Parts: sequence; structure tokens; C-alpha cells
Amino acid sequence: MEIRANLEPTWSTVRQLREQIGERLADQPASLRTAAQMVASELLENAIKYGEAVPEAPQITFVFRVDDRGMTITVSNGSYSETTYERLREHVDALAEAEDPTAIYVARLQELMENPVQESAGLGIYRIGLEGGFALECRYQNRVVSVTATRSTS
Amino acid sequence: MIDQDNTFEQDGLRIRVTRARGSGKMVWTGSSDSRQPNQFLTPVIRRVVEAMKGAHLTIDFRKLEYMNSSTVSSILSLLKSLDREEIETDVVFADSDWQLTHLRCMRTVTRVLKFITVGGESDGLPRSEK
Repeated sequence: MEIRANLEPTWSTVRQLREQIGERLADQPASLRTAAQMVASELLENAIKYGEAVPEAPQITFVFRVDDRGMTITVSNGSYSETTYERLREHVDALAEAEDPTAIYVARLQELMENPVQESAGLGIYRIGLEGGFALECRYQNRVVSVTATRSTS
Repeated sequence: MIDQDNTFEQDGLRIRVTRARGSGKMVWTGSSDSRQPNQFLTPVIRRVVEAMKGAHLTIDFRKLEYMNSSTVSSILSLLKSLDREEIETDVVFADSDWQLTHLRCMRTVTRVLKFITVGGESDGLPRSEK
């Protein structure tokens, strides 16, 4: 099963895709369905917030795939800013290296509670690993940022 | 008898706030997925904190279907404001599915807040309904 879409960076697409995934996974366990919906939403939100149209990626590309091996969600967006990508990569690396994803998520919550004016950056990435149980990879090539989330469906 | 009853709604999120004598309720339903939830929630938080002075408040997230990570920051602000005003507050999450992660993490992070208790249905919360 696959959903593939080229999207304009409008906020309403986040909810539309979340609902579409919910419908397509209606026969799956609720925990898997809600995890997939959350991960797709968080990745799309990031792409809309931080992405830019570049010649190599004028729109956001969204691919959701489920097969026997598991579930994969890839979101790609253009970006002229390597700095923005580096911030994303720091969070993705922190999640990958964390022995306990709960610890880094809670630490981020504590930071936000102490300093509520700062952006919630990073929280969505950590949530993907902790709440969704997905592994994340990211790359930046030809001014295109791609983030891929994977998890087993078994 | 309900002394106060206010409902705040925006784009799929509904928050009903009631107070009857010394007991208050704030019930979240629907989805919170706007780009900047704090724009809607900050004025709501201000009104709730003002309205609940002297009350025992229960914040009920059990019927909330979805929230994005930006909403989590606003919830932390709400809890911090309630604690600052010394408003005894029980926060209730569902014990299952996606809310369980939030239940556990919020419980940990609010340990430093003297007037806030976070729990799930199996903890017997909300205490104010006992």
C-alpha cells in the first residue's frame, strides 16, 4: 500500500494526509494507525515550517508505504539553508544515539517548561522515536532535505 | 449548580471550562493541530487561571484525539501558570494508545510543580470527583 503526493506547503494538507492515512490503515491496530498518523503529521509540519521552494524541489514530496517489511514515511522539501538542516540532523542524531528516548524527550520538555518562549523545535522529532517507535534518517543533497521514518509493522 | 461555563473552540479543538463552587473542570476534545496553537491557547490559559483561583481544577485530556508537538508547549505553560497561582490541579490522560506516552512524560516533568498532579484513569484521578 502506498500514498504518494506532491504538496504545496499549506497547513491544511497536514490534517488531510493524517485523515487519509487513518482511512487507509483502518484495519490495522489503533496503536500502529495513530503512530503513523502522528509521524506523518510531524514530518509534514516540519517541512512546511522550515522548507523553501528550490528548483530541485518546488513542492513537498510525501511518500507513505506499508509492505511486509514494515512502514516507511519519507518527506522531502527544498532548503537553501544548510544551518536549518544541521539543526534537524542534531535532533535526529540525538534520537538515534539515545539509550533511552524518554530521557531526551523529558529533558526537552523540562527546557520548554523553564523557557516557554523558545520554539518547540526537536520535540516532534523525539516524539516520533518515543511515541511512534520509528527510527529516523535524514540527508541533505542538492538543496533537498529528506527525512525518512521507518518501523516494523509486526 | 454550575457557576461558570465557557467553551472555547478553534479549528477542531474544543475546550469546555466549568466551575461549580470550589471545583473546576477543563475538558479538551477534538484535535489540536494548528500551526501556532499558543495564539489560541494563551488567552484561554489566562482566563482559566483567573477563573479557577481558589478552586480544585481537573484538566481532562481523555477525549482529545490528537495534538501536535507545538501544543505540548502550551500545555506546559498552562500547568506552570496554574502552579504559580497555587491552584490545585489534577491532569488526566487516557491510560492507552498515544496518550500513555504523554501521561508518563508529563508526570515526570511536573514533579517539580507542587500543585499539579498528573495521572491516568487507573490512578483514580480525577480526585475532585471522588
